[in-house]
Amino acid sequence: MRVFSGHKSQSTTILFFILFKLSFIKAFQYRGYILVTLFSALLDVFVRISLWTALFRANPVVQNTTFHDMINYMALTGLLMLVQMSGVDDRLANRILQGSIATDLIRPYSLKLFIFAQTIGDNLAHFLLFVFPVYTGVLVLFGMRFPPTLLHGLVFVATVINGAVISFLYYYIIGMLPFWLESNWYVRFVNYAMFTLFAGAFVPIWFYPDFLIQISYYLPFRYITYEAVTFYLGRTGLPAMPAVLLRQWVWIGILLGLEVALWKAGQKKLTVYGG
Amino acid sequence: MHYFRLYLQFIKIRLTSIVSYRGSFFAGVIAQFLSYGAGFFATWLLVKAFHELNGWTPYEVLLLYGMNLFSYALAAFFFFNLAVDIENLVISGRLDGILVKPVNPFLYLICNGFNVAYFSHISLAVFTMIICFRGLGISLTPIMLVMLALSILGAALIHAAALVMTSVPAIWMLRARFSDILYWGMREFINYPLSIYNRAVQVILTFILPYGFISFYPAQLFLGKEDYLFHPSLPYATLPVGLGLFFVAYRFWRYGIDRYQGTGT
Amino acid sequence: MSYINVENVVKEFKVVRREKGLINALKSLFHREYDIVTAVDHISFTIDKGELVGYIGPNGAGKSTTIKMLSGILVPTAGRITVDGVIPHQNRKENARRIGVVFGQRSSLEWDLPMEETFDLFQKIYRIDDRMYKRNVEFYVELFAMQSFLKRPVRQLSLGQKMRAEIAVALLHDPEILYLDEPTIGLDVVAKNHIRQFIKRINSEKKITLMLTTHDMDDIEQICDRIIMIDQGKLLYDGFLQNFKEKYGGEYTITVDFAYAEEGREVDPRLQLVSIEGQRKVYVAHRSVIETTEALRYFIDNFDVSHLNIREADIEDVVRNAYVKG
Repeated sequence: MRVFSGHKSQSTTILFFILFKLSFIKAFQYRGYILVTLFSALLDVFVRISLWTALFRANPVVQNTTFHDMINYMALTGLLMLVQMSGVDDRLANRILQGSIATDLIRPYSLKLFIFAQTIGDNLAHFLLFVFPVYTGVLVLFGMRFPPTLLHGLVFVATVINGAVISFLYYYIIGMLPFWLESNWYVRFVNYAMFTLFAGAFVPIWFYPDFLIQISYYLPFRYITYEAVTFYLGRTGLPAMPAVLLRQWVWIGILLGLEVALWKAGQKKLTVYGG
Repeated sequence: MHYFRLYLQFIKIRLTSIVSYRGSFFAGVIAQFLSYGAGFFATWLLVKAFHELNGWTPYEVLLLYGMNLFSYALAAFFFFNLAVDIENLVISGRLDGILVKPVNPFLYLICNGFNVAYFSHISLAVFTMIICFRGLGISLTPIMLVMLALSILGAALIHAAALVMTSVPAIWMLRARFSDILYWGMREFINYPLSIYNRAVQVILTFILPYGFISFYPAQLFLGKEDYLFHPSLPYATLPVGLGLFFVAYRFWRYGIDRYQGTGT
Repeated sequence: MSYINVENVVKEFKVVRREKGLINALKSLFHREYDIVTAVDHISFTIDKGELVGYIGPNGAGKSTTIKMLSGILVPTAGRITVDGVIPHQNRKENARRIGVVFGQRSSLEWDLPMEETFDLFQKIYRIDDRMYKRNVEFYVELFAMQSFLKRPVRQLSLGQKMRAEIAVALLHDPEILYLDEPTIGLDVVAKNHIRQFIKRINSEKKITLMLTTHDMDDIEQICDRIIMIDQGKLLYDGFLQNFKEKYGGEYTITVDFAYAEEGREVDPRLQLVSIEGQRKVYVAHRSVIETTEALRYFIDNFDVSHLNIREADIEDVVRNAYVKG
């Protein structure tokens, strides 16, 4: 069942691409859906640009941040949606709630890889159709920033990859909760709260009071995209690099351990109580 | 009277159902509280960091959130099921089950949609509004309180009209998700003062999709704001706008059902 | 004028054409094509008060669409329907008070609650007065033997129990007509038999006019007095069960596994060979020509047979037959 360590046969790779293609095609199925989603993405960006414009009207620099910083922060955080693995949780949770998890366990492929492929497929379709055009549009219009040095850029890439792994593991763990819960529809509300307060999804954490920032260090959320974006924008200096990478790895370790333990417990519950 | 009895019966049924899913129910209430609470808190902190948003202080901006949520929750309490769930009703065939009963489907769906979960939204919204008025040192006179109640009623009707209207394509099995643009997308706008947007958006949100009347215009009244747009009488217009819009929405919904039955084509 | 009149009724639906593949999906962003599907195609029939009519046909024949038009949910594209002098869709609520409808594939019961709650709800919906309500609840709980599961949440009931409950709920307001859309679908043999007995009793004891759609031949043989058969929206047969059986029924298939290859041996010409697969041969015969018992005896007496299987015609066979015979 282990994905990242298991042997990868050719058939698994093929399966991966089939799933990937399927979720891609699915996204194109509905004309109305595409137009509407694109339009709402544009509206959303428009509201936020208006908001930041109004906020910076009185003071061009607030907490060492300019309007231009914020536009780049917003666009970059938006573009990194590509590595946000939300959707993993629902896919796994639905299998557990509907009981199909039992058959997944006897199939000759890795469930984790399966879910990963579906999620990446959906993400990429969503990214290419909506996220990329909207945010590159914003960056072209307002001016795109580049990392201050090449090394900042490399650290950005490394932290993004780590962040993707953290995100995947986090959502995978959340997706396992239905082993013990009767439903999980409310989990996304909790996620929204967490990402708003501790991941800088909407307002960068640096605008928050100190106590919230302190808490955020003890939660995995800021290590998904926030740290990467601050490197890119040059807000975090290179001396902080080892500490940030180390923290990301520690979180990967913690989440991986938790994932293994929960998976074992869940499987036991499944086999002992029959789900 | 008939529908009132029916409504009481559904309330009984829903409350009994909740008992069998207690755990999820309370988890859901807490989770939704957290989610909206976090959004409110983040906005308040943001405006606080900048001291003001186009002349609106943090509490004043938060009041927009509170009024928006309160009126939304009121509308959703009665109309969410009817509007958002209609697609499921059509696909699963449950709409047919309603149409073979001697009832007005609109009223029946309102009764059937009783959902206690919105009490958590409403209590959070009231809590937020109290915090705002206290934080701003405003004590509302009885007349102002009545005005507030009427404004919120009007705002709820605007929300309801939008929910109802945008659900009509779903009755026809068009998965256009117009509701996503016209409703969920546009709702973002009214969490901030209308005055931060450019003129075109202000015109749209006042005269075409009059969401401005949900929070911005009535809030001007209670906060004594004078950044009037278009005309200083607009802060009083929420209730009439809501009533008018809701009437149109109801007619459109009935037309939707007629076309579903095959009279319109 | 009869109780239920259906004159030249047509129902068309407009359906979006959806093609496979990414290119077509992209194309459909800008241009889409529609197909007109005719679900019901110039159908006419009448039903008298107290009749028990089986409305039959294969899946997708247009049975449910007809029921939906009769009950006022759908409006005919052309033609005219009256039920007791009333046009159902124009007087939907008035019509609804005198009909009961059960859709076999979906539920009108409250999933998480015991049956009793749904009974109460239907009392409020149909404004049934307390005396009538009490009388009917007692009557149907007794008739459908529901006492044992009245207090259990609906989600825990078996399919057969749920169907009994659905029918009871549809009858609480003393409708004059009951439409049953696939009432036995998905049920096991025992449960099907129960439902059939109940349906017959409702018709005979309560004098309720009953129309049921089905594609189960046993339903048809065991309960219906009269058959209306449709396929692809067109009426194929309307008449008594007895004539129906004589005209279309009676066909059966015998599959014979011969112990030895019986090359060259002549088989009774009344048995028509339709396929050969090694030592297995399949024959079709008709009861009016040769009875099943005689056919079976014929094979056993004259051949060395290792296995015999006999299958009665199902609805698909009957419909195919109807086309052949016109």
